[in-house]
Order: sequence, then C-alpha cells, then structure tokens
Amino acid sequence: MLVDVRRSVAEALVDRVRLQQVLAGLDPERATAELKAALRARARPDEPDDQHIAALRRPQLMPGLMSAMTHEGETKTVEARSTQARGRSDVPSGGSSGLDPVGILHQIDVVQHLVEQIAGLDWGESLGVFNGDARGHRGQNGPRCRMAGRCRRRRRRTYAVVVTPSEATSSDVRRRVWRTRIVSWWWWVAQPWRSAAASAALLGAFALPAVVLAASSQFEQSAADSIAEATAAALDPDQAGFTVSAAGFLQDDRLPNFDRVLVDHYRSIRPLGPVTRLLIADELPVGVGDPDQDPGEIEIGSGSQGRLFARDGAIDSLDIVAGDRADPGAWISERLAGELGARPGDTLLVGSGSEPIPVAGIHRDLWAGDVSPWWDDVPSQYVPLFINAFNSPNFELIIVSDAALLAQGPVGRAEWHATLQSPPRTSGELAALTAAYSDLERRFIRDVELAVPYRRFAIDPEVVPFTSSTAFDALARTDRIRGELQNPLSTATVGGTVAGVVLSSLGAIFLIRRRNREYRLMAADGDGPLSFLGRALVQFAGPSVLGALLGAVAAWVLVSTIGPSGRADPTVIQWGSLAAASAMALVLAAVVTAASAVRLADGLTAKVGEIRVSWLVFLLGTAGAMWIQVGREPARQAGPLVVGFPLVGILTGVIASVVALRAVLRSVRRSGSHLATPLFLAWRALTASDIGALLVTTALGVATGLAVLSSLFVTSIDAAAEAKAVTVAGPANRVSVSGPFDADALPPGSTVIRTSIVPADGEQVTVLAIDPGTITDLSWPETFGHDPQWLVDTLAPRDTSAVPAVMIGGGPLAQEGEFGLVRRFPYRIVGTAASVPLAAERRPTLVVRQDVFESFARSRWEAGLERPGDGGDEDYESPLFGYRSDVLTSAPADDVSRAVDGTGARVMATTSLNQELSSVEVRATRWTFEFVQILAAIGALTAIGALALYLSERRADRMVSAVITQQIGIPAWVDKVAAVVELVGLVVVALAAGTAAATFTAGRVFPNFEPDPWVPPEVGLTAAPGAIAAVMALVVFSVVAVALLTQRAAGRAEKAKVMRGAG
Amino acid sequence: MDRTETGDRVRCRGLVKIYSAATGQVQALRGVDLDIPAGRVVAVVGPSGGGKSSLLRIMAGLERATAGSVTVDGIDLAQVGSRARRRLRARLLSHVYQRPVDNLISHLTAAQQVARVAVRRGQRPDAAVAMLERVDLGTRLDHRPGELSGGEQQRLAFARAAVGAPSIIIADEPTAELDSANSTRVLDTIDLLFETGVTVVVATHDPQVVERIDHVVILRDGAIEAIEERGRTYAAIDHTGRIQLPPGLHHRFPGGRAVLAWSQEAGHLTVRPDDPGEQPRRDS
Repeated sequence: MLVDVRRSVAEALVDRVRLQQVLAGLDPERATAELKAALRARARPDEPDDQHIAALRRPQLMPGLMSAMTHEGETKTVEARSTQARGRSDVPSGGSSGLDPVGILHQIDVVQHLVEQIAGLDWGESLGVFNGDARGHRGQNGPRCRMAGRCRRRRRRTYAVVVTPSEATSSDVRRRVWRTRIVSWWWWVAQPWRSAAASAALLGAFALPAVVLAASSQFEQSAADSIAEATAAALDPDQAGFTVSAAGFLQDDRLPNFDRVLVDHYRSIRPLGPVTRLLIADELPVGVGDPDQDPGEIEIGSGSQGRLFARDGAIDSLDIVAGDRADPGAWISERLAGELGARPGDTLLVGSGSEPIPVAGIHRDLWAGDVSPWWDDVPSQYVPLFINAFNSPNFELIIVSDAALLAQGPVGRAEWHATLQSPPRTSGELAALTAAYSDLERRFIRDVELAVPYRRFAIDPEVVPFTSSTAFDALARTDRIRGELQNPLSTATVGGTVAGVVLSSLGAIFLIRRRNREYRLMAADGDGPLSFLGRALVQFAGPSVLGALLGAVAAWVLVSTIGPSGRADPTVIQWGSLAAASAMALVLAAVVTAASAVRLADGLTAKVGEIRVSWLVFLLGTAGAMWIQVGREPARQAGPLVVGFPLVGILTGVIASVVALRAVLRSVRRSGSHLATPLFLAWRALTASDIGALLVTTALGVATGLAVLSSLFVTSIDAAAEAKAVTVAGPANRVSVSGPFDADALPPGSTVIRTSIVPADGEQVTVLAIDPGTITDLSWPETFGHDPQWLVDTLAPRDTSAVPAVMIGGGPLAQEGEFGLVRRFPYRIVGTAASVPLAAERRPTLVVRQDVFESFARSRWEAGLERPGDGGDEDYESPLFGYRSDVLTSAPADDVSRAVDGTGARVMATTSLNQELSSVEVRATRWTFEFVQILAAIGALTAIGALALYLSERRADRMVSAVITQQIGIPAWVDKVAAVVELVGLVVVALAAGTAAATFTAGRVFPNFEPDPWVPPEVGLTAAPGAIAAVMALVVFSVVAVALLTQRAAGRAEKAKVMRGAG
Repeated sequence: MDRTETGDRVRCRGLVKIYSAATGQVQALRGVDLDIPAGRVVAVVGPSGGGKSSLLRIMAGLERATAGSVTVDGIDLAQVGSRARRRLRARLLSHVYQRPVDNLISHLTAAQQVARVAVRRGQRPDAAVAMLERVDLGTRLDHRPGELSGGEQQRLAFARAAVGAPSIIIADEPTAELDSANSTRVLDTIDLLFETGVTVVVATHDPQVVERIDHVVILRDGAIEAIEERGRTYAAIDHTGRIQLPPGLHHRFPGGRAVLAWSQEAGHLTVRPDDPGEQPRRDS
C-alpha cells in the first residue's frame, strides 16, 4: 500500500516536473505577477480571505521549485535549488503540463498533503537537501551525495539530490541535530578559552579566593618558620638537646640494660648527637687506708663526705696533682686528700661495706670554698642537670670510671644527655623534634622494652625519669606567636576569601558583557535561569579548577617573596577549604551569569555589574555598625571585629566615594565647555564614565587602600615597637648593675641612670636620675617628644625650693609635691615628655638630673633641713643611695660587664634593643599587616587586570573617538592627551579614595594594635609618606604600563578598519 | 487563561509603558488599543520615540507593560509571571532584532540555529532544514553567521523565528541595516512566513516595507494615530471612545474643534471643520 501511495506521490511529482518546465521558460517575476493577477481576479478584492492572501505569496516559491523523477522503481526526488538556477532549469524537458497557475498551486498542495500523509512529516521535512559539488560526489556542506553519478554541475549551477523522506530524516538530519547539541555544549566549555582576555579574566577571577586562602596558610607557616628559625638560632645546642635523669641503683646488673635500650632510643632521634652518660652516687662517708691495710679496718665516717662520680672524659679533664691518669681507681681532690691524708695508691672506701677502690691520683680542687646552691662555680661537666638546688656540694666528688662506680653499686642518679647537632630550621622540624622527645618520655611508661629495665633500675619505679630540653620552650614560643597571629590572620583571610569569592564573579560579568548578544538572544528565546546556570557551571568548571591551582601557585610565589621567612610550604595549604572556596566562587559566578543573562532579555544590558544603591546602603550600614562596635571593643585588644573593620571600611569608603563622585560628575557633565579641548574631552569622558570605569576605579581604590593601610600599620608598629624598645632597653644595650662602680671606666657612649621607686602624692612613682654629662651621648626616637639635650636643659637648676622634674606620659601627679620614702624631696614639674629610656610601665615617672638632685639634697642638708640633730658633715648621704644603676650604652654589653666586673660590682641583667624588638607581640601584629600587604598585592593585581580588560574592551571606542576627533579637525595629539587625562583622573580618584579610606579606618583601630601599650610612649598612627608615595608610584606605573601595552596592542589594522567605518 | 473570543491573535488594551530615566519618567505608550488578527502581517510605523519598540517588546513578552493588557492567543502577558513569559517566548513568541548579528548565535551553523529553536518548540529537528529551504537558505545550512551576508543573516533570523509555528513574530526594523536588494529578499521571506499562518508584526521606517504590507499601524507619541489597511486609512478609536485624526489632517481643524455629525440613516459619522457662520442645529 505504501508503495502505491509513493507511486502516487511520484506521479504527482512528475506533474511538478511539468510545472518546472512551465516556469523554466518564464521570467520568475513575470510568472509571479501573472499568478498574482490570476488569483486576484478570482478573489473578491474587498474581502480578501487568508487563503487568497496565502496563495498570493506562494508563487514566490516557484522560481526555485523542484523537479522530480523516479529512479529504479524507488521514489526519488531531485530538487534544484540554488539562486543561480532561479528562473531556469536544467531538468530534462518533458513537455508542457498545460496546467494554469492556479492549478499548479493546487497540485503543490496535493503533493504536500500526500507527502505529509506518507511520512507523517510536514512539507519541509520531506526535503532533505544536499548540494552537489563540481565533481558531483560530495555536497558542499552536506553529506555525501547518494546519486553521485547523476549529480553534476553545469554552468555553476548546483544540483541536489533529495532522498526518500524516511532516509533523509532518520540519518543525516538527526546527525546534524546531534552535532548541534554537541557543538552547543562544547561551545560553552570552549568559549572562555577562545579569547586571551576572557581566559585571563576568568582565571584571574577564580584564582582570587584560592590565592588568599593558600597565602594565608603558607604565610602562617612561614611566620612560624621564621620564629622557629630565630629561636633555633638562639638555642644553646647543649640545652636544646635531650637529657634524661633517673634515680636508681647504679649497679652492673640493673643499669646496663636500661642504658642500652635508652641509648638506642636516643639514636633514633636523628638531630641529636652522641649520648654521654653521667653517674653520680648519693653522698656517702669516705675513708682511706694504706694500700696494704685490710679494708675492714679502714675507718670511715670521720666527717668527710663524698659522691662517686663517673662521666666520659671527666678524668681526662682533671688537673692532675699526683698520680698517673692511666691508673685505674678513684681521683680525689686535693682538699679531700688533705682531709683524709690520702695519697695515690691508698685504698678508698666510699660508704660502709663498700668495695675498696685504689686512689689513682689527686687533682686540683674543682671549686674553691663554698659554692652557690646552683653549683655555679663548679665546671659544668661535673654538674648534673637535676640537682637538689639547695644542697650545695659540701661534699667532694670522687671521680671514677663507669666500671668502678658500677662495681660499687651505690644508689644515685644517672643522667643521659645528647647535644643537638642539627638545629631545626622550620617550625615543622622543631615540632618533630619535640614530638620525638615526648615520644621517648612516654615510652618510660608505655613501652615495655624500656619500662621493664627502667623499673628494675629505678629506686621508685612509679616515678618516671626527669627529662629536659629547651626545645620545648622554643616550640611553646613558636606556638605562642602562631597563636597570636592566627586570630587576626584568620579574620583577614576570611575577609579576603569572601571578597575573593565575590570578586570572582567579575570574570563572569566580563564574559557576559563581552558575549551579551548570545546571552540576550537565548534569554529572548526563552532560556531560563536554570538553563543559564547549568551552562555557566559547565563553562566555568574548568577555569575555576585551573584558577584555583594558579591561585595556589601565585600564593606560593607571593609568600616566598614577601613572607616572613622567605620560604613557603605548599604542603600546608588546606586543599579542602580551597576547594570549598573555589566551589562557592564557581556557583556564585554561575548564579551571577544566570541572573544577568535573564536580565539581558529585558534590555538591562547596561545594568549588568551595576552597583545598586541597596548594596551601597548595606555596606554603609555594616561599616557604620562596625565603626560603633570597634569603639566599644576592650582597649588594646585586636579581635576579629577590629581586624575586619579596616577591610570593610576601605571597601565601603572607596565604593561610596566613587559612586558619590560619579553622581556629582554626572550632574555637572554639561559643564566644562570653557576648558581647553583636551581637558574638555577628558572631562566629558570622565563625567560619562560607564560601569566598567566605576568598577576599575573601585578595584584600584581598594587595592590602594589595602596597600596604604598595611604600610601605615607596618610603619606605625615599627615606630611604636622601636620607641617602646628604646624605653625598655635604651638606644642599644642596657646593663643593670648591683653595687657601686666607677662610671668613668665605662666604654664611650655610655651613661648611667639611677632608678628608684618611691611614693609621691600617694602614688608609687619611678624616679630616674640622669647624668647630664653623658646622657647627651645617646639619642632616641622622635616619638619620645624631645631629645636628650632638651631634657638636660629643662632640668637645669632654677631655684632651691624644689627639684626640677620632667614627668613622663602624664598621670595623677600634682605639678608640685614631694617624693621619697624616708627622705622626702620637694619636686616641681617643669616639663612633660612622652617617654625616656627606662620610663616605668603602668606608673608615673619623674626624671631629674643627678647633679641637680645631689646639689639640692646637699644644700638642704647644709641648710639643716635634713638634719634633725647635730650631725656632722660625715653623716651626709647622697640622695641617690640605694638607687639601682642601669647603664645605657651604645657599646656592646660585654664591654660594660667587663668594666663593671673590675670594680667589684655585679651585673644583674643585660637587655638589648634587638631582643625587645623581636618580642612576640610585635612580631605577630606586624606579620598580620604584612599579610594585609599580600592581600593588597592580590588586590592590586586584580585591579590592574581589571584595568587591562577595561582598556581592552574600550579599545574600539577609543579608536572611534580618535578618528572622529580627527575628522572634525581636532589634532590627534589632543585626543591622546584627553585619553591620558581621563585615565589619570580615574587613577587620582582611586588613589585619593583608597588613601583616605585607609587612613580614616586605620586611625580608628590602630590603638587596638599598639604593641606593649603599657610601655611609654603612646605612639599613634605614624604617617608613612614614603610608603604611601611608593604605593602611589607603583599604582601609577602599573596603570601607565597597562595602558601603553593595551593601546599598543590595538594595532594599525584595527585603526584603519575603524577609520573606514567612521569615514 | 482565557482565549479571546474575537479570533484576534494579539489584543492590546489600554497599554501604557513608563520608563524611569535619570532625567525623569518617560511615557512611551499612552493607552494603546490594538487588535491584530491571526495570520496577518502588520507594520508598525511612526517617528522615532513614538513607542514602536516598546509596543513590540511588550508584545514579544520581553517587557512588562506599566498598565493595560496584552493578550497573545488569549494569554494575557500582563497577568503571567516571568517564568510563564519565558515559556511563551520559547513556544509562541518570536522576536527579530534590528541588527542581524543580534539574532544569531555566532558559533552555530544556520541549520543549528534553527534546529535549536525547532526542538525547543516541540518540532523534530528536521523542520529546521525545511524552514531554511523555505527562506532560500538551503545552500547555507552549515554556514555560520559570520559566513553569511547581512541579508542572509536576517533571513536566517526570520527562519529561526518562524520555525515551530509560533503565534507571532515580532520584528523590530529588520531591514534597517540592509541594502535595498537584501531588504527585498527579507520581505520575500516575510511573505513566505505569512503563508504558514504566523502573525508578523514589523516595526519599520522603511517605505519599501510599508509598501509591501497591507496593514499598517501608525504610532505617534505613544498612541495610535491611524491604521491603514489596503489603501484605506482608519482612525483609531480607543477603548474610551476617543478618535485620533489621521496624519496630516490636524491643521484642517483650526481651533482644535471639529463638528461631529452622526447619520443614523447612512450609519456613518461625519467629522468636519467648524464653520463659524453656521448656526448650531438644535435638536427639537
């Protein structure tokens, strides 16, 4: 049946051959006109119906309509459809059909109807069209011709073969459709990579959160490494080694097993050197007898006490008085030998019932007289680490070999010590070292291999051995700094990451603005947000992953370059967090794309990326609330709010400034006609600046703000830290001395300040008495508010009623009063200063001149004001008696110590400026803002990238502007100058807004970051004109470089193209 | 959603569109009443700023009217949400922008452009090829927009707009960027589409377009000034009963007054200038 129907179709199509023949000899326009005329004649002109109207249009199909033929019993249609063939046909002539035009139209309807009946398709679907090429084998654009032998090209006319409807639709067209779908989706995946600008925008945008996160963890690690490095450099390798001390039975059958296992464990800690063992027995009475005397007859306990002592190299270090070092036996001191009357070769008994030991020799006493409770005067190699502090060595050490001591088997203490041979260079290595130490500690209890021999050795098995190492202190210090750093760093990281995630949608916005035609068309076609969302997710997946990796690499480079230790460890990157941030950025970019694309259909192209007033209000509200809350924060505390406020403040300040300025400029955009032409053009461009300019200016402003903020803080913290360190340690070194000494013996550049804490006006006051002759050799920071000479001059004697004094830092003291505990002296405050070296913390300080004070006291004494009785002149006592002496010197502290030692005084402590500057608080705070510097660098890179993209996007506009200005007779240089002025305008706005916002917010929160706030002087935000100028210079240089590079890329060809278009 | 009982494909009632601009509010449409029957090609002409594009964008479901209603195939676009409008755009409403490049996705071939829309409208993808044949782009199936001339691009745009039997095709000055020859071919394409029964509304300034279209709506200052159909000019009567004089006649009514005379017998209304010498007739 189907065949019959097809044959009917074939017959109908054969009729259409005739139709084509009819038309082939006609001019198509004429044929159309005739058809129209015929139909119009049949239709009522005043009531045209749709059918007639349709028929009127249909003749226009005629010029290119088809011919048909049958081929080998199958229904085949051949259609010639080309514009070249219009009006003519090369189909073999078969005679005239004899049909009138209306009849022809009816036939077409019939054919169409039949075809639809057969294939269930509409008319068009039955016409799969191929174009034959000149060789007749492959279509120009379509699949291979099925009738290759019949396809041919004549006179540049193209022939096509139409196969049966079922064949055409089932294979070729479907293939094409599948290709459509694949191409469509593949295009979305490939599109970002087709343009360098788009790729850069997307990769840069998606790298933002990753670089912040990766930089944060690496920065923290770098800071920890830095402090570990500094700590390790200061470590005493001997003390940083590991010491185990245990009380037990120093016997042959108990100690060696424990010793062997313990030493094995020591060896497993690689940074440690060889283990040395010290054995020291408890105190025992000592007796000596002749060599031939029966040991049982030797009297012991006559008063002499001794402790057997064995250590590798101990005998070798002795200063031998008698005996041969190679002889076996015990070595005793001259003092003990004298007490006992012992000589080399005598028999020595240590403790009753002990084995006799021959006296191998006599050595010089290891110490003279009494020693301090801490065995300070005993050579270190004879001092065990764990001693009874208050059990001074009123006994004698009897130096023996290990074997001799173990043969005695006394109760005592054994110590194992290994020196640190490879100090840790990173916090990781330091942590690993202390972990190994701790592991060894735990093994005394948990490891049977070690615990069992220990229990057998120990006197009290329940008491675990003592262990010691300064590495634990170093680790604690490192962790403390890390802890100090973590909170502000986390806040900055969270802020930076959130900003990065938000900013990552800039890449999506750039892409939308660049490809807005496609997005608008798709939206107009009915693509919804979910459709765009899916496509955007597919599209941005690759860039987000690659961007995250690039961000991690960039962070590594940044931290390696400007991190605290100059090294970055990528293994500490928290990849989970980084992946989460990247995923959030991806989703946000996709959401922004979807929302923007849907808006595009509504003609809102220009508003994509627009900063809405509601957002501005939100930002202003947030910043305002934070401003208020920061004021309520506890003083001197830098919580997350205090750290986060400058970031939010800068962002808000810059956006508000730029938006407000834009509004103002727009309102005056019609002014400026009086300006010179270049300025006028620039003025008009600035006042009409688009959203792109707004975003770029904002980005530049925020980056500038962050850079200025961090520079301000780092400079201010450095200034404050230096000032406070000078207060504590003096300009270089401070040596605290106990006892009188000759100040003239001090090295040049030294001065002595006498200090005492006395009551005054009901307060405890520190009185500093300076030496006017030498204090001027020093210098101190400007933040002190004065110089030494001012101090000397101000404290010069004025009258005899009171001691002139300078008060430091204000406080509750009256202008006039008295100070002193027993001897009270009137004072009068003649000036105030922010600080002076050795000024007290948390207490008022009065500074006086030593000579004036002495003179005043003496005059009072001489006037009888301090002499209640008839004391003679010899009763006079200096008012500085009992005052502590501190030497401030620019010379090395050791030089001062040597000078002081020679006079019989004692150095109590030394402090250096560098030690103070490296305090934990200063480092942690400084590093926090060094991290902000990294954020600023990231922001600057972002802004520069955005500027490059913006200039790149505006390249065509700029070209058109250049051409138009030339065409209206304005010289080319005018347009160039206008472009430069416009760019400079944007940069100036960004710099001004960023600097102002940063300074404003920094001033609000800096007091919370002031290091050691209880130490004078109180240092506020320090201006950093140099740093700010450097930031500005860097920004301007970058902008100019980007502008030049972008404009150079425009090229002459493009300019010529624009000129043609404009002309 | 109610179907119109009149058989009109598009029905606008009291259509008002107000835009908010930096300089204040702009009233683009001032209560437009318009009926467009199914299967008709209608040209909307008028001076720039007259409201043509606004009217077309509202009819295409791309914008919402500030007031009034637009009913397409019985569906009031003012009453449906954005999702429903998207669906309508996907299935029933097609829009052709002025610039040819705005109508095409640059990376898709001609066949892919049309097939994409065909599939969305529930058609088999093969319909794309047929449609391209119909608009005489059968030889350009695998060409991308960049490989087509402006006229071909615009015909391709009409092909993708017409595939899948939409209710209405809105074309906003489709020949504005084309030369005369290409404009003619685009108009031929519109003629072809007309045969499929689709309603086509074209905003244009092009006299060549106006000449080819029998139904012309003249829009001025956001209101319909007149409607011309096959040589006849009709005054527009809005839903409140107001009549707008046809173009060029305003100056014939000095003082802004006209005398109306309704002839019950003839069944027509006469509008003529006021004659100062004539005494007003009193109805007894």
